[in-house]
Amino acid sequence: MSNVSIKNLHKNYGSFHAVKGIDLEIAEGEFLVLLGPSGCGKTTTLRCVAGLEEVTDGQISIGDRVVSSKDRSVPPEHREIGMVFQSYAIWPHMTVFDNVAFGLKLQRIPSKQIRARVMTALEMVGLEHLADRGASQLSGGQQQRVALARAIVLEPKVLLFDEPLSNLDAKLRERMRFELRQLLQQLKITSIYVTHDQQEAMVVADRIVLMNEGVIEQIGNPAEIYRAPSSRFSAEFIGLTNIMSGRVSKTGKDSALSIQNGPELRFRNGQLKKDTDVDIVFRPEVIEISKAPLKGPNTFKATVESVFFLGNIGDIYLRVGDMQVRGQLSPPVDWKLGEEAWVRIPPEWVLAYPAQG
Amino acid sequence: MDATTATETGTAVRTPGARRRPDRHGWLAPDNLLIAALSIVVVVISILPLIYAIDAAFYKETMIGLTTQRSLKAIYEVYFTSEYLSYFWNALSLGFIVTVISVVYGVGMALIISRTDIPFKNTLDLLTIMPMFVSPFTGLIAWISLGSEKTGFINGVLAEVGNFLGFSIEPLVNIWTFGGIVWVMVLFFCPFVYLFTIGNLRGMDSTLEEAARTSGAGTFYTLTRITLPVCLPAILSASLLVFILSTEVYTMPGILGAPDGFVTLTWQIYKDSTTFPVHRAHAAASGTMILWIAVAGLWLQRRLTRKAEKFVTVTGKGFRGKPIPLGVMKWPALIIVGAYIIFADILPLIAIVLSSLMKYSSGVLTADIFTISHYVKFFSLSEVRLALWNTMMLAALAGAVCVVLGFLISYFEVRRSNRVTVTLAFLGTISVAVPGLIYGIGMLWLYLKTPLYGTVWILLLAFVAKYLPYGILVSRSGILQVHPDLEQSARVHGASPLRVIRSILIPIAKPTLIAVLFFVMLSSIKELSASLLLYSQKSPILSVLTWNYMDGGEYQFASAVGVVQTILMIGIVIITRIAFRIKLEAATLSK
Ligand SMILES: Nc1ncnc2c1ncn2[C@@H]1O[C@H](COP(=O)(O)OP(=O)(O)OP(=O)(O)O)[C@@H](O)[C@H]1O
Ligand SMILES: [Mg+2]
Repeated sequence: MSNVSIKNLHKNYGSFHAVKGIDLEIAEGEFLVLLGPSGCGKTTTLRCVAGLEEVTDGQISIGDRVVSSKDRSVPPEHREIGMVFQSYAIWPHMTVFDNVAFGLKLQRIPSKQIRARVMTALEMVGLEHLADRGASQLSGGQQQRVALARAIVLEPKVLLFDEPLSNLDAKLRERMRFELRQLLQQLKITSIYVTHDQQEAMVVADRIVLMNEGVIEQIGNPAEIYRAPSSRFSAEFIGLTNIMSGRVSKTGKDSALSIQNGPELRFRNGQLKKDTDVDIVFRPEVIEISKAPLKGPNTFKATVESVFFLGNIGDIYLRVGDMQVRGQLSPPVDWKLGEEAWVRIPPEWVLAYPAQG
Repeated sequence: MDATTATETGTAVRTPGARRRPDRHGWLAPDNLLIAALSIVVVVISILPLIYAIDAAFYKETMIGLTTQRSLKAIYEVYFTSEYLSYFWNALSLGFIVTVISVVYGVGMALIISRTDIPFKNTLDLLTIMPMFVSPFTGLIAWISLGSEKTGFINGVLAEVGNFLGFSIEPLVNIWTFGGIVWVMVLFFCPFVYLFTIGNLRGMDSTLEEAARTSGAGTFYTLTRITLPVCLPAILSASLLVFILSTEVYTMPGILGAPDGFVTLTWQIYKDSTTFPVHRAHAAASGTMILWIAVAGLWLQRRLTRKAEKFVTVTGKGFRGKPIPLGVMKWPALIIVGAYIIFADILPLIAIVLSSLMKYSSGVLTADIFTISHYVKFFSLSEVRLALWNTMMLAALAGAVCVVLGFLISYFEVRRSNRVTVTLAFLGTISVAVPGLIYGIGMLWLYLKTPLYGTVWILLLAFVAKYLPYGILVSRSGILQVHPDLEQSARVHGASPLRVIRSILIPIAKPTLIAVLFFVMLSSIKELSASLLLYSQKSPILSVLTWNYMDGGEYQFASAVGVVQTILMIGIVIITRIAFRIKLEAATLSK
């Protein structure tokens, strides 16, 4: 177990700049998730930590040891890491046992000890009964567990995961999230986990690093990022959200936004200058919807445009002037199309970001 | 007609009044007529000669052929006397040695080129597979002029160097030995192993190796414990192929081994069928023995392939791993690959061109030894001009026929899959396991009494029989790439079945079909083993001429013919690569 520190990491593939200066400190025993859309450089960052890619600039250390810098790179086999790949990378010509024992045999540990450690690791992932099975006869979920056992059996300083659950079907994926989280809480191994699935990130992470186009957008624990996204990108990427364009119409205590062809909205972060073009963001579940009249700022009369019944909740679209607002009904009360409704958008949940481009 | 007889797709339509496609009418539907015609063609071209070749083993023979009387004498003498068993043993041991060396070297080169940061990667890759694109027999001629004891260039140059340094160097190499046979065959078979292995290495999921690295294994350990074992089924499969091919080849061991008295079974087959007094039944009986090797080998190979498929390590993504930095090891690696390229490509090329410009064989080059008379003769001899024309015509026709038949047969197999069409495709591909020599024997016997005998058309039949399997296998993989939905959506949008083939299937499968065309052309130009039994004075082709001139001791003229033949073949390779962007070696892999 060790801390990992990444300083100003850059990685180019030819002229393409895949990672553009990343700074990260990962504490001992922390479970850190790199989250971001496809192609944002998550895997690249992870592979740099693993030593599978050389860094173009910057420095990576594991514990006190610098493992990657511009002109020096410790090869992966000397980094004391464990890694779980998206494709599992289970060696097809070996049994489950041999797959897990591979790294231990390299350390010239007595075979009795190897046996004990491999079986413990297999027990942890619930596969002890398959130890002698050929690896090519495993299901996807089983392969995933073997890959996990293989990574933890070495008691690495850092565990690296590259979308380990993305090839599993939805049900299994959900279950594995919790198992993985529990297992790692038990083992307390520093982990870096790459995913593009925000729900998965929320479940497993101590801390989420949200990446976009090779840079970090935001770092924080799941709740922080959800409640206080630092940019339109963060808000959009994590959770559902209403987004519209507007302009700051008032500043100061009563700061407000005017929405193009829509009503004026009060909002939370008031440091924006008057007349700044902004993106306005608020989540569906904060909107209060009522048949009886509501009071207070940001209260409007609206018409119901469409309602979708999703079981535990309802998804509702309302029109306020020219503005369409998505709300959430929990429990899913019956609304008729075209019905009049009162909505209130609490100002403390309305966020605005200077518009980009 | 009763609807229950409408079995044209195998799934009999049993409900009368069920909707039937208007374009087909029971047994006489165009599809069925076509399938019937294809079946007849396949039987006549691929199956009958094989049956005749086996059948011929069971006759009493005379000095010029077979009688109509049955006899088991030939079978007995081939299978149970030490003479023929020793030929068989020679073939097996030669095949074994050649296979082992080719596999070690071919796999080594594949590892170096696919996994390290060796410079000039693409050029090295291309030059390593180059020998596949020229005639092995031409390579043999080249190596005879390079490696002969007294008149070879290598010993000549060494002697000159010795003279210059003031001491005498004894002749160092002699190609006319067992070692020489192995040498030339290894040079020729390495690319097969290389191509199979590198295809597997390139398609391998790179995370398998990366997982080993992150588990603490170094590069070398990873190569030996992960990379090679994962490729093992492919490597074994390539070994079997090389083994089968090298027990079948008779030109190299035959010519080079003759002075040493080293005779392999296939060379004996050739002698039994061509030198007076002929032993046709013995030849045929020996043929069945060779057939056993091929059948056993292919059976094993199939099992291995199935095992390899279970490994499913080949992802669509291809290998993305970081190349292993060689550092100073770059030089040994370059020497390993470079040595092969020098001995398999560069030296033979220089030798054959030089030799074709010389008046007589000599290891020492002097100014007055050079002449262009062989090329003048090449274009003035009517026999050679005819051979050039025949070669090109046969190549084009064999290519075209294999494309058309192969496409149709695999189309029916894939899209109208039923017992008839699947059997048809199977029968069409059987000949992949059959040595050309055996086809030669069978064709000869089958068409002896027909006007086809002694014409170029019998050669065409032999070429089609031999290369139709490529046509079927390669177009099958092409057709399988086209999702049936693409065709069905065209049908839904109103296209007739023919129209769908013309405007959907053929355009998408076109690169595959072009690859088949040129691959068959290339193979036909260098075909020798069946041609040698089937050609006649009236139907000469280039490959046979090189053989005949060699046999008659006219090495220089044979070289000139070889040069022209090589230019033709390289021309085809260049055209497909540049004009169509198709790599012909891909066609070989589907074997
Ligand atoms: N070996 C390579 N050569 C060139 N470009 C590469 C290479 N590997 C990655 N890239 C590029 O770098 C960028 C970042 O890739 P990376 O694999 O890190 O993305 P990712 O965030 O993991 O995305 P995903 O969620 O799709 O896995 C992408 O645009 C990718 O095309
Ligand atoms: Mg990725």
